[in-house]
Amino acid sequence: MAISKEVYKVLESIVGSDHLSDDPAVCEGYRSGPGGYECGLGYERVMTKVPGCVIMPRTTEEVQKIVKVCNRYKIPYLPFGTGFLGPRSHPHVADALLIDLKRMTDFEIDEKHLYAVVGPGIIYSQLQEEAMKRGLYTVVGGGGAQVSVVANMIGDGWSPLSYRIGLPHRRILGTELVLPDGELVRLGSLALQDDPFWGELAIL
Amino acid sequence: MPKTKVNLDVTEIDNFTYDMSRCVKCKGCTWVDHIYMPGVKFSMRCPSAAKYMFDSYGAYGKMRVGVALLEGRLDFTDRILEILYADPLCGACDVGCKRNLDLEIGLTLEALRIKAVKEGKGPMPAHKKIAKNIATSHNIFGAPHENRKKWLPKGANLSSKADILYFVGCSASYQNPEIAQATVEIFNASRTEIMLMPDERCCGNTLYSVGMIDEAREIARRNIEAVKKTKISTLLTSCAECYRMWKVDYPKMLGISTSDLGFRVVHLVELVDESIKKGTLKLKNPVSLRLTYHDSCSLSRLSEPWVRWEGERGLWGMVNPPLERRRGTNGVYRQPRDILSSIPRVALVEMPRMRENAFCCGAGRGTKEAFPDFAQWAAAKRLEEVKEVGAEAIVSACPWCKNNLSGAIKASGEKIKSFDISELILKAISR
Amino acid sequence: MNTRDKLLEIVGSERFSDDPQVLERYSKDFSLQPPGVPNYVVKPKDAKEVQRVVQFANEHSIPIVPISSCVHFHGATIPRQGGIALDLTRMDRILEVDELNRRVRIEVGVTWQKLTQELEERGFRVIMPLLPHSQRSVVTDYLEREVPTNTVYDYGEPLQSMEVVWPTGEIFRTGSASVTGYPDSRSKGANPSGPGIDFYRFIQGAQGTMGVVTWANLKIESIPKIDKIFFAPLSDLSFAMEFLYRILPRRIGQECLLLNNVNLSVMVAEDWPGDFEKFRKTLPHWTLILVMSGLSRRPEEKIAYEEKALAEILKNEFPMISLSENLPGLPGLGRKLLGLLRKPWPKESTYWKNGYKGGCRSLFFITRPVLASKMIDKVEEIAAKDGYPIHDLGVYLQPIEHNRACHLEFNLFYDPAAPAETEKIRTLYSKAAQVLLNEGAFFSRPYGDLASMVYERAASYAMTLRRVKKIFDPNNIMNPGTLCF
Repeated sequence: MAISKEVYKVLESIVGSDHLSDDPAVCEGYRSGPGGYECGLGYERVMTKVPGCVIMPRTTEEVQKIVKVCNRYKIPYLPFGTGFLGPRSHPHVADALLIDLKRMTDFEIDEKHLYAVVGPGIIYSQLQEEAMKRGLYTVVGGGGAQVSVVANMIGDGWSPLSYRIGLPHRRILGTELVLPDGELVRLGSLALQDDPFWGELAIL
Repeated sequence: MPKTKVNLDVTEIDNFTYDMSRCVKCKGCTWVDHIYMPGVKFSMRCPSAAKYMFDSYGAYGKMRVGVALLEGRLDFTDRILEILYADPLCGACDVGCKRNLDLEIGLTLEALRIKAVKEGKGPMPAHKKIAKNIATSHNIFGAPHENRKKWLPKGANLSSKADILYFVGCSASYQNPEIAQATVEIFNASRTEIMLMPDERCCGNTLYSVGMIDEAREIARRNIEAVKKTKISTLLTSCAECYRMWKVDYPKMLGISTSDLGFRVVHLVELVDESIKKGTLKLKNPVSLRLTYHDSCSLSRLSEPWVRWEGERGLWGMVNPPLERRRGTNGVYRQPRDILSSIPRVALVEMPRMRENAFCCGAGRGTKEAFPDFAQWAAAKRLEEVKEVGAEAIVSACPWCKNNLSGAIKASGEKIKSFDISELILKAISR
Repeated sequence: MNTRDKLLEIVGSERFSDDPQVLERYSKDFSLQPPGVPNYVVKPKDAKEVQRVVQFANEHSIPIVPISSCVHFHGATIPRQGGIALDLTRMDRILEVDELNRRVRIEVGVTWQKLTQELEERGFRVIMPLLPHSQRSVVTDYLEREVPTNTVYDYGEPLQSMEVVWPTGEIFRTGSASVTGYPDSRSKGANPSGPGIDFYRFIQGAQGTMGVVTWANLKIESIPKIDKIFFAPLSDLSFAMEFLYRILPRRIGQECLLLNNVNLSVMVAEDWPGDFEKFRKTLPHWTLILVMSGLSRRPEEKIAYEEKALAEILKNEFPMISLSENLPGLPGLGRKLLGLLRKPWPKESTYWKNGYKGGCRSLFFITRPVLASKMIDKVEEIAAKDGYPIHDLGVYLQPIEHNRACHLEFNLFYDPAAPAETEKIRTLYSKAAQVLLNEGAFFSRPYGDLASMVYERAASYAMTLRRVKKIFDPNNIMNPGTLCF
């Protein structure tokens, strides 16, 4: 049992039993696969492990609570979007808690100010479609249309079309981040107001 | 480079270890094809992944579970059975994957179920009950076999010998007689003779779908024998699942191709479309309805003919001889739409997810019986799309779809109607 | 070894000073920041010397203030706790001009004047903020996020990779300049970020609190072959904003900015005070300046299609805007302004901000263009209440990146020699800043008093910043007392 019964109960009270599991069959689904260009080399099998437990939060508050629990009980955890950085997106230590963010699908788009606010569960093809419906467009990183936008942007995902709208890390505006100790930090204009329209508040 | 012999026999799971181990988790099996992505709403094509959400419930997770089962790292547990069986085998994952990689996801899932049954772990209790019903009463409901033709209206005139044999199916015979009756009337109207099977028995859809291949094969042999005796050229169905069984899974189980069957398998919509184009059937009565068409899985992406194949796999996984993959492109999409569009006053609108991207209603292939909540949930999701396009009715070509969607509509209290296409055709034909 | 001797040993006597007269020069600037004297001034000649100074300072907890220009407007380089003024103005070499990669690598002491001249000879330019002071460090201006007048390039800021000396003394290169053997490497340093964690945003905007940048790569563009400058007189700012929302995402134009009559007069007046008064009276309340350019390839076609698109939009949607190549009553303005926009402010003349009354307090922030009008109204309201003459208030609106946001700047001109006026400006500035903050102004560059206001509001963000600062600068030697440190 990767996570003790007590901790499991605490986590369950945060997200509900439908969104938490340490069943080996459920965890097996999160095994790292051969990423496109690494297919068949097999090093994902050597580098990664299957998580010991999987949890799917829906809100930032839930994420904070989960991280704080992990801190207290010394449980290694990792955030998981669509798992496309190959082995690097998957656990490297045994009995880790994988925080699957696919339920965080909040989405807003401001067509006048040319930006969108996305949760980590949104992928590029959804964003691109919503943009195109409004006569706008974004550039999908080389990771593909099926990757999480947030994960790809913070990983600086490029594409042959990036020259058109700029480097990914420069396109990140207001950001909300849960630190490893569970504290919430808001970067960019979100630090001062509830409006994420701009990034960079004197550093970060 | 060593080559391995490979074929598409689903009783040999080793045929699919390559497919299981090459999944890159691109979730082409789960997302609507990106070119047709509707946006942040209605973005998924897989009902299992949409409902249960953990990665293991999507095809990409199931492939990993399959590998673990084969490598002995996991054993069949209740959870694994849920992962394998809370799944209508709708084929969305199969055709979605083939957009990116040539992996046989659908066959792998069938093979895993066969393995589960072989090892005495599957299928679900509800499925075992159905199997019992079929064994004793030759229908999935366990209703008396002698009542199978009770749907026939008094004075119905059916030939004892015709070129077209109408295989009614269990649902239309016992649960949805309106479909069978409509079908008969439609052929009367086009003055086409049809006959029934002297002793019609369940096509075995549920048996095959849940992995009870031996029982299903026996039924297949018996049914094909019975049909051959009648010397018909065309087998007609009004149920998408029966259609798929006869056209695809019977040849698959028997190691032959669809073209080897010796008769043509058609769905009602294919013949009606032909008749309209030939002019032998006229849809003249107006039906004032804003409706949308739901692509029943077994009639659309799962319906391409089966071709027997064997060969070997070599460098970079390429197979020889080349294998024409079944990508769902040539399913029966056009005919029902042409039919509906030709009915005067019908406004046909398309839902965001259609054709290969259609979102399964969740009922078929044993799922409704074993996981009624899941089937209800999937149908409710589909209803959201119906509402999104402002349709008053949803039309499908399978009694399972019709019933499941009706159930969801009733539960929701919405004023939407669920029709089988035969009912609409009937409304429209001039008598 | 005492500090004096150590510093002498590192840089030599020619480039060291603790003469009070010299130190005094570093204690103040054009801002209203109270004076602060450093204890020593050193002028290192390369990164190695910088490193040695920083290492020594870190070992002995001596503050360091990195300074790359000799003229300052915001008080960020005035030492708050004494220490060593690290004067990098002598590190002013242009290291590489890489035409193929549209890149220039320069040391931090390179001024706008030097860089503009050098690049011009080769047919290139760096996009510029509005009329920068010719003696300011280009790298520092972009580290401090001065907003370029050119809105069409998606990079929004030309800065790429850089070399920085961390407060603990390590020499570090960011982005693709971090490869072994740089600059004699395949990688040319054009990627500002990574590998992995991105330090770019960390160093930018830091006001010298995180490290000492020694050189940086910047993007360059070719000097346009054809330029056409247009003006539109406007009285309704909201309407002007709608126009910009419409044309800028279509990438029409290169430089695009809005100036009120006061600011524009200050910039173009040659004969003081006559010209200034005349212009101020006759210039429209707002002037939109739009430059369209054909670059190096097929310039005529580029201008032609932009003009065509613009003409259609004007005809169909904004017929009341009259865009023309000159402002009525001001012949030759086009040529003059184009020259001004493409070069730093001429060295011989008084810097334009100081031309009117000698002093200028600039209050600027980033906001959504649609809110600009409201913010201007608020500032005018406060100014009127405080007795600041509205007709002395300069306003500059710079659309950023296709007008997704804008930099809004209020220039409060005042006479620094008059203490009563200076005090008035101080209070007006604080009041206005507080009100604007509540209205949603994003003060992304909090200088001086603004810092405490901003960080009080962004308390958890400030806390995080302090934690990160502790990692990089455990002894808090880098420009202590600035930002929230």
